[in-house]
Amino acid sequence: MTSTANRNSRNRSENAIVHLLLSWSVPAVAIISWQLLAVHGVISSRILPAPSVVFAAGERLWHNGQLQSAIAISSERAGLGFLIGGGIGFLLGLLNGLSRIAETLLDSSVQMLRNIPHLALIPLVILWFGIGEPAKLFLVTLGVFFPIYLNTFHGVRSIDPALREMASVYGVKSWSLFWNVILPGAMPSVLVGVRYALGLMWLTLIVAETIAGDSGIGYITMNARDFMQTDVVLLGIVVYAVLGKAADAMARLLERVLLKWQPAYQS
Amino acid sequence: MAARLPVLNGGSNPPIPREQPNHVVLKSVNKSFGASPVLSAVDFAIPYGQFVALIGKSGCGKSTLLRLVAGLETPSEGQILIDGAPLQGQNSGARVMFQDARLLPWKRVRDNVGIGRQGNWRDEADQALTEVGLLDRADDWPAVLSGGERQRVGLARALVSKPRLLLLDEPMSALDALTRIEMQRLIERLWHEHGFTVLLITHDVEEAVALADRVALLERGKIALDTKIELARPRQRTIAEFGQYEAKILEQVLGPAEE
Ligand SMILES: Nc1ncnc2c1ncn2[C@@H]1O[C@H](COP(=O)(O)OP(=O)(O)OP(=O)(O)O)[C@@H](O)[C@H]1O
Ligand SMILES: [Mg+2]
Repeated sequence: MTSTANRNSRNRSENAIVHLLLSWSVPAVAIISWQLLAVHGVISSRILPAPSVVFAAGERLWHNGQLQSAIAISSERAGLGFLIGGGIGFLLGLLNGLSRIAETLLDSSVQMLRNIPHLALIPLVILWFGIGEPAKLFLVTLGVFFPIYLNTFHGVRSIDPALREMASVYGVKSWSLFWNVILPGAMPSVLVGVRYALGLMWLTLIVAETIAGDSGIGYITMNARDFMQTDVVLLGIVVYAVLGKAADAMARLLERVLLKWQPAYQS
Repeated sequence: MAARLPVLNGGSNPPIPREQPNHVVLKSVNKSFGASPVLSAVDFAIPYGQFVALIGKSGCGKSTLLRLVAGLETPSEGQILIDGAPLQGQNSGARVMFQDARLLPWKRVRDNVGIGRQGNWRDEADQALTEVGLLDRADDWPAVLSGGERQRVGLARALVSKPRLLLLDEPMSALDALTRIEMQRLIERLWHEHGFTVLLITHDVEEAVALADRVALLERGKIALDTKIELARPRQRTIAEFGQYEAKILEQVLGPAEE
């Protein structure tokens, strides 16, 4: 009995290792061949410097502190924009989901605005705010707002009416109804919105920093372009990718914690 | 069979007024949705502690009648009296068990059972779970339970507030035959111990005869048949009288056999 259990768990962890190795094998091969091709001069270093060179650029920028401060600034913009836009979207989604009056009053306006691609507002935003912090914050906020609003609204509306009826038979009302039934019932949909919004958050920030930046990762890459430092440009791209991945991992963790009741997250 | 006396379980329930014998009274109740009438001039009374089964074809308005008694719908005409007083809003002394258990998937079994309760609801919930034999599943998620276990959790949830009126809307119809008999025995036993009034909706005539003091048939918006089942408990399904009751009710449901 115990030995089978042990064997099973060992099998499972072996499977996990094999899975990890397999899923990383393709990127590993790609990077190694890229390195070899670059070192032997097959690819020009102007077009695509070797991974080792990009790594060295990273080390250089790290030592003079530029990289850390750029990451800090970009992350702060992303996080703050996410909190503001996500917060407003979440609250407005709850409000419109719970109140028919609020929905009639507000939802069609929000739906109309949703059809404007928020990046199309960049010229206008620069006219309003210049290229300072508020411009970037505004764009990220706007980009994050819609997915969270829509998914929160949809989540509240799609709660099984049978469960709400059950709750009312069992005397669950107002605040307790919200806390025990509506919020957890809407949560799966809200988290879909969060993941989608995190993607849009980085995308918006990259565009905003590249076009209208005086600091941050986007600014570093644009600056490097002016000096033909392809290695630094590549470094910026890699940093964006890593930050995006980190945000996604955070969202997954959130799902794992908040949706642990779903069969998919059990055991 | 001796009349069942109402049993008080203490707790928060108001004392039962004894001037009148009926727990639930429907007085010429009409109910229609839009233009289509579902119940027309239904008169029906349920004495304290009685176990009533309501049968009828699909769509004849059984659930509607139960929802009226629960206060989830209001009659188009007529009156519903609970403890002799007109029912206003939701019937707070009643608990409903639905065909599907309607557990909150994001709450563990214990929290589902204790929903809407305050104070030391954990102990109450554990006690109710003990009564349905599921205390060891208190910390599980509803998703991992079997259909029968889910219904038993639903039953525990209905019992935890010590209701005086239990409204059961086909709670066993989705269960397999063996689990169903188990669940029937459980409900009968708990009814025996607690002495609440039961209105059970079912499409299973055998279930009605096995459990109920009285079987009513709803047909074309009216109570078409109302019989007492005078069989001693625990009831043997194999004895002749049981079959006779069943046959008599079935004949009424299906109409006389045609050649
Ligand atoms: N909210 C509603 N709005 C409109 N029509 C309704 C509503 N609720 C029930 N009805 C109608 O009333 C009739 C009776 O419905 P009810 O659910 O009471 O039937 P039932 O006897 O419980 O059937 P079943 O055995 O299939 O559960 C049906 O024709 C149904 O379409
Ligand atoms: Mg029904």
